Amino acid sequence: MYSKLLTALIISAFVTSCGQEKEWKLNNAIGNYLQVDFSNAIVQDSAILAEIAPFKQHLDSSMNIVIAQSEKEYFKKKPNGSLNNIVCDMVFDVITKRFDKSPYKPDLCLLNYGGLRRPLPKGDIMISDIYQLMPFQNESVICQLSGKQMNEMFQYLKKSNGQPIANMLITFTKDQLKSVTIGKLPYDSTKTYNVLTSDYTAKGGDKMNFFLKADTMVLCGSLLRDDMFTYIYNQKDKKLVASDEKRIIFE
Amino acid sequence: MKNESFLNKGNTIMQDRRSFFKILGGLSLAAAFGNIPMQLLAAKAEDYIKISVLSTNDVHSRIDPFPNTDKRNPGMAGFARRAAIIKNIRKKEDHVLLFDAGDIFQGTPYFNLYGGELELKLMSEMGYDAATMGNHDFDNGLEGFKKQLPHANFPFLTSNYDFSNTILSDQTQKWTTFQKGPIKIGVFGLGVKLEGLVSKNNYQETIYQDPILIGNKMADKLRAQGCHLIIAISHLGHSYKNKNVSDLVLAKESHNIDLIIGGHTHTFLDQPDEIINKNGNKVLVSQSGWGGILLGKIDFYFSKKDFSKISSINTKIKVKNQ
Repeated sequence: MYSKLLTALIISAFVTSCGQEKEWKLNNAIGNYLQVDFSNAIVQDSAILAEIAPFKQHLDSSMNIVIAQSEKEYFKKKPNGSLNNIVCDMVFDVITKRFDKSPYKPDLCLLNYGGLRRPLPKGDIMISDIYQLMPFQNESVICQLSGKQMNEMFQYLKKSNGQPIANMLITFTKDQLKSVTIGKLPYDSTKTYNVLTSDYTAKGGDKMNFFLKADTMVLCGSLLRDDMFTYIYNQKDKKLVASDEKRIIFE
Repeated sequence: MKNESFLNKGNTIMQDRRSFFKILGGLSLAAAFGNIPMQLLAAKAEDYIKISVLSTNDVHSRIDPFPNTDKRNPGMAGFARRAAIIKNIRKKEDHVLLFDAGDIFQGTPYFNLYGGELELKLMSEMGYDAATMGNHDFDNGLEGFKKQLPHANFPFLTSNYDFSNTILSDQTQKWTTFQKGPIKIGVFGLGVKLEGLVSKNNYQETIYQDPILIGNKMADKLRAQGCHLIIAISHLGHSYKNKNVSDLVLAKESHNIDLIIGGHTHTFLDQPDEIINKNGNKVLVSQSGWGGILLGKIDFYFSKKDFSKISSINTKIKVKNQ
């Protein structure tokens, strides 16, 4: 019965819609999203696989090398996350040691949340894991910030609901800044602070415009990613343990 | 404007369709008709032409499938698998176009080691017709991008980036057209604002121009050239809470764009969004997630006969697996 009704409907629709011959015109569109997974194409394209093969072989042999062990899987989170902490801590450790006797020795580290691209997996950490966590060619830089610029930074941290930081603890009440500790000392608004960050944010990336006003910017001469490799290289037991310290608190 | 009546009679049609649904009862439309719009069932094959527009965005150097240990997308995506799906579609369809909406680069060590060479080589092999530049395609600077361009046999369309004072001058195109049977398709590309998103070192003297202004200019020009279908490949992002220009904003402010293939916001949609433009016509806004997890496929049906009384856009049928 359905099919009879259907035929009748289609015929009537067709008869009433038969117009004059015209230009080609857009009549209808159907959108689908095809999932690219095993159910869709069991066979992978062999020509493409063959083209990938030499690249993959070279990549595996240079990248898939275990360099450390991780106790847990570390994720980024706002305002605080284990990945936020471990990445900042690693870079901060390496650069403070390198700049130990320098007037630019960093007081704290601020990286951008968006720059952490993958969690650190549990267990074996390979070179490729560090690359995937931090794929960008961003350099470590130190910016000297005045009290005014530091204050803008605090406001940015509040507005953006936190960013990865090291060597600083900051507490906000509902409307304002409550307390800041840098290292073990309370924040002093008359002082200039050396903030370790990336050249991306130092040039105003992710709207961190307070860095643009810094009088002095020092290039550390290494990529953030390479500083992470340096940290692991210098570490004796090759075990990565992230701090779960809450560094940014909203009361 | 040749196709001004494009899909603009949706309301009356939807009523027709609802009554149709009632008559059909429990019979699923998709099961009954597959992918063919219902009014075309009554038409002969030579009465209409189907153009299949395939797309990806934000593939981010995801050459291999996601590892099986990946929490969200275990074992999904991968160029070789996508290539097989595309090949199958090309076997079935006469008229296929394939586009990428940018952020081809960055995200796996393939990019760190080879700078995008493999991505562009494989896309060329898969028959991509055009792409636009995403912000991450600037990650190795203008030089890094230029160095890889010889590996692409398809054009990069960057209508609102003025590269004339950079080394990319004359390396990309503002627009292009494709002829598929009697149907002419015009395509252009729109990029996101680079300031604050990409290091100045990496984009140098590139000038970002207003995407709505440029988009409308491009679309008008392509319509005047007799294009039946006008596609914007965009890396503006699907939508924002703030007032930033997005694909949805562009669609609303446009008057000659039929389809926006988007990127940047890694948006997964069940179906393309339908937006009413300045002329009261519908614009489709699509985006296919990221990483090559999805392949967008939008089939456009063109007809000489006036089926408009019972035509409506139909994006409701969701086919995840072919």
